[in-house]
Amino acid sequence: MMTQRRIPQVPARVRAAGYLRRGLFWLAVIAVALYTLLPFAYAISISFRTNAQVLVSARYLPEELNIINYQNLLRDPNFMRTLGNSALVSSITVLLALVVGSFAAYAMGRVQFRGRMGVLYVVLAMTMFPQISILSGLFGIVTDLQVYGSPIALILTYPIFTLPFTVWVLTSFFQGLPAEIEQAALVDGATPFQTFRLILLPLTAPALVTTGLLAFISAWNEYLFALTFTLVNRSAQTVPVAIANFSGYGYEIPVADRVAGAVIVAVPLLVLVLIFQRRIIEGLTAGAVKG
Amino acid sequence: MTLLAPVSGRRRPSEQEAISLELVSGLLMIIGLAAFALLFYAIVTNDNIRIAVQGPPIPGVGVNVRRVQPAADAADQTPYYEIEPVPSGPAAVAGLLPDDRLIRIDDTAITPEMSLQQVQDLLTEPGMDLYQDDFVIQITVLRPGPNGTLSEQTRAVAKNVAPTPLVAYLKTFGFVVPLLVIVLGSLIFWLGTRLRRFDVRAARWSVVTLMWLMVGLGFAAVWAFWVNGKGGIVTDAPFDFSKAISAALAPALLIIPLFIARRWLSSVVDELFVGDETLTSRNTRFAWSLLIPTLAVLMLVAARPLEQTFIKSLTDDEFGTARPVRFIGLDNYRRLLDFQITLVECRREDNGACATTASGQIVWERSDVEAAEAAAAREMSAAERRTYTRYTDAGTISIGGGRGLRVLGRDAAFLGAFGNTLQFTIISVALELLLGLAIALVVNMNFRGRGLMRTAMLVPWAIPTVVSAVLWQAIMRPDQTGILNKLFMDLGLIQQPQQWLAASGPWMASIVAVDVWKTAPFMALLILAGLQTIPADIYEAADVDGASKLRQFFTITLPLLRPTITVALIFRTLDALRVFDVFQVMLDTTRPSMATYNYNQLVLNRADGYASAVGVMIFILIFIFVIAYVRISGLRQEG
Repeated sequence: MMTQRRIPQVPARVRAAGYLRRGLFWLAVIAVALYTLLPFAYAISISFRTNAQVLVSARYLPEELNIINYQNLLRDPNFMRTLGNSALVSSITVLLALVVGSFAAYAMGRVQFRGRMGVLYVVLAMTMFPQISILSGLFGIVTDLQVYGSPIALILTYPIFTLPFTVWVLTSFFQGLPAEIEQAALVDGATPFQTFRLILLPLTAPALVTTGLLAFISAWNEYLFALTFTLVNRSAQTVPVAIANFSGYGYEIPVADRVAGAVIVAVPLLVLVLIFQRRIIEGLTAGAVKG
Repeated sequence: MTLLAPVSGRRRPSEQEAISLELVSGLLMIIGLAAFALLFYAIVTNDNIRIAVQGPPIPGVGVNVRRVQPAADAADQTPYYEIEPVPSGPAAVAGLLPDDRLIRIDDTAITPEMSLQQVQDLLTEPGMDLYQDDFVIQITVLRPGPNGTLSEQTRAVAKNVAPTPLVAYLKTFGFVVPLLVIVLGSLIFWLGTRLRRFDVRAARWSVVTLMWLMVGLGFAAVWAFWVNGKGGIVTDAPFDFSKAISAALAPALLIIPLFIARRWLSSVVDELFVGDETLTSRNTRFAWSLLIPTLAVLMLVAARPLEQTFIKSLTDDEFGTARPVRFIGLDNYRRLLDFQITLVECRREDNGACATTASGQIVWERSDVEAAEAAAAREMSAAERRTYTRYTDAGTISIGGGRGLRVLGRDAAFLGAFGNTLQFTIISVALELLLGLAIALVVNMNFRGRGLMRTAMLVPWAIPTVVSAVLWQAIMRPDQTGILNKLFMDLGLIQQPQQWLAASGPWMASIVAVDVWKTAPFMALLILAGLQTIPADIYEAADVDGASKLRQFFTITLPLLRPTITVALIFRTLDALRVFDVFQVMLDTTRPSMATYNYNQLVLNRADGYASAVGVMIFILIFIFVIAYVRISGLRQEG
């Protein structure tokens, strides 16, 4: 309203500058959108071409919508098993992180006790822990426990990055809840654990969904441990390892079918992210900005 | 502050309750003692430690020597020495057979007159320096042929020393776990003694302890069930239920008495026990009991592996060899970090200009250090040469005037990896910050479709790194089949297809581009969240005061964004320093980052000890950054 009224009053030169600015702005918006979306769009485009076509020439758009790559992959029991492994490992990791992590977060966010700051520091330091530097130590633990080459090795080791993060984010959520809740519960005669399970946990359900999603994404994407601990056993591999070591269905170098596999791996995550984008952004900024 | 009523109305225990209490406290004390006993038993029966203490039959060589008296009907009645290679030991690998007759060790003739002890002393050479690397002894034997002949053969057997008991102990047990067992064992024992004095706090702690012990035993039972039933790391064998059940039975049965004890104790805890408890101490118990699972998991997956990595980095451990592990001090680190910088000249063309390769890189002459190393290597004996690591070229930086600074290292590959990682970190984080800031400023404007834009920005972040590496590999194909080449040629930016990922091409820029694509939008989202916390009225006030948009950006936006940017920067730096996926998928082993170098050493070279040292180096580097982070962001002190 305001601007519309004002526009006739400004000189033509300024109006032109305004159009130019708007044009530049939309150019910038389009550039950002293209930059973020084009590579993946190209991945979808290439996945509809046959491998032979891809190895001959580059095209922006596929000749035809050929779904042979997807058919091959979805009919391949090995590939489907790696998808299953990924789903299994990620889900159990999330469950473990949420159950164990919410306990710890409740203790640190709601209870005043001796040693709290120490534990808080340990957890914060752990969120930045370089997994690679303990790879050889973990390798020893995994072989000692005789779970090398099985998905259990991954379920066992993934808490190293999911758990501290979960605890850290959930702690800040618990801290944000009003203090009266427990006092009321205490007056009503609830034990601390009942207060936690029946009253506070339902209140943090949104935070649990967020952190669970982030844990799921990081577990689904994890490559280093998956590669190290399941290299010997194809049937235990997760999908990133399978994609990275994909050898194709023909004799040529796999390009199109590999990218098709990559698209299949990325799609579940993209769907999750698009559905829960608001929560994810909230969770990420809570984890990073509040630090 | 005491919110809880002091326990009153305590009644005297009935005779039956007194007995039950004795039983429960006894159970706790037994558990405490059993923890000690188990630790002791595990240490005493550990094979590595036993071998280290007693020494193998003949340490390291892997042969037993036996004095043989020929059979009564043999023509030659002189006794001789036969050898028995220890299966899969270095002697067996060298091709020695059990009925080989020993005649010489390192040119010392072995005569039947020598005592067995003397022969073994020759093999073990106790005076040898323990820190020396492997050396080889020549064992000459007579081997009986099929037609009764004896042919002389010489075998080289790698000899090494047995691990010291300390190294064997540290590698298997370390510090953390035994310390924990001792502390927890003593605490549980102490709880048992306090129970008998009707201490209410001890009773409540006992209830918690018993519960977590039950959970722990439950996990132990499940683990034992699974591991024993599966029978091997990767097997097709069917699951062996009888074995699994028999292994899981003991821990599972142990749960029962704990369960009964806990139930009884929690039912009488408010009646039989005396003492005051403040709210704080009750809270502390509650909090720690909730923290136990997290701490246990972190212990298993972080503290213990970290300790293992530190310990292993001081040894020369390798997977899949029979060679015992030795303590070598800081040798791994010395090899990793030992470097020299020297001046080199470029190779001159006839016209005096520097010669370049086809891709435009300057060709350098050999440096004095390398020449000296080569000369020294020629002087060495074969054995010396094998154990000596030369200084090799890790990269040259041109300083103009046809001269360059060359970095030489004992492990040039690691120095290269270090340089790659540092270069990658600095460039990619800087670009991500600038680009992220720019994107955030654009998206922060109010325009239609902003929500869609934010969604689009999450796409690169949501795509797994491996997937984005695979995708960009397809985009950056080195010939005209790559879309990036096609796009750039269509736009007229390049004339020839570029080899984006080849060692002679712009591979670092390519890798950085992939990482920037994946993380810059994400960085933008973080900065966007920071931007939205800045109240709009500040800008309105600035508008009224007539400050230009640019001025507003530098005096309002940037200072207020500083905390957000600092945190985002540090997190990204830490991520970039441990970059693995992109390098591993796109460059394989040829141009490693520190993380891929660690992986290559561990998994491909099986050099466990050396890889551990690399891991520790990464850990220290990142630790320094974390400390800087805590310092800079000035973590709030609370509680």
